[in-house]
Amino acid sequence: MTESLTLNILSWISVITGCFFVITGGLGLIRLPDVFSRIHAAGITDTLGAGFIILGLMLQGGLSFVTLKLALVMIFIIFTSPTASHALANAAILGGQRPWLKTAKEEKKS
Amino acid sequence: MLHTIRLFIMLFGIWLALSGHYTPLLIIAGGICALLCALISIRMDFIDQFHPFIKISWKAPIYWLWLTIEIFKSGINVSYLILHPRMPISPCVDKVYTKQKTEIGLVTYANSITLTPGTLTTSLKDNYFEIHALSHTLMEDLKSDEMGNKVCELEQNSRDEL
Repeated sequence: MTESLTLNILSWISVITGCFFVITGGLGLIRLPDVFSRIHAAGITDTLGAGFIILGLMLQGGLSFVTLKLALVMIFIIFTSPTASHALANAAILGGQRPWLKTAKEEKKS
Repeated sequence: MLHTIRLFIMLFGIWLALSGHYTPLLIIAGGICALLCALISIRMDFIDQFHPFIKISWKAPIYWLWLTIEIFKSGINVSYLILHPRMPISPCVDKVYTKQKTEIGLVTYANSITLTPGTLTTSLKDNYFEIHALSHTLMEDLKSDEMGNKVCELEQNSRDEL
């Protein structure tokens, strides 16, 4: 009984942490100034957000097929998300986008 | 031939693991699918390229664990930058020189950089990557070449075992 309670608490902590990172990523997607820095925000959603949510769900699943499938989902995300980010950034560069850099004036202000 | 059999076993294993239903019909269907995939990949001629993927160095799990911790640390860092009211970001673009010799080493390094929040590989050149980073500290972490050295070690290790 206490064991399942501990597992439940751990899994909920993990899911909530994941949600926090997903929301942070979404917020960053709106706040950040250009394509390249927005890709970084999306990266948080991909790695930490998805990672913690899947970890939490795996703790709920216990030792079963569901956990195995979730692990495979995580592995596929780990392999495909950097590839997609890189393709996006490379396409942006080839399309003539230049990264937004802080000007000296703004540097002084902050 | 050996690689084809290995591929077939791997595909069939994945089918069995993911299906969860063990009726004769589904098992036979899975066997046929795996066999077809293996036969098609002979014709596509990429069986031999699978070789290095299957041989994974015993150091790989240690590297993955280190990478996970690293992702967590820079994830916290980037979250702080985003959530801070004034958003103290200082984006920069720079070159990071690479020492990896094999293609797989380079791919591992580039993917690890992109996977770590806050740093992004924008293009790959002969002996360097162009990196976009969200702040100078993240770029300096990368420039210290700790990750590059770890990937080199991993690469060396898996080459010795081949």
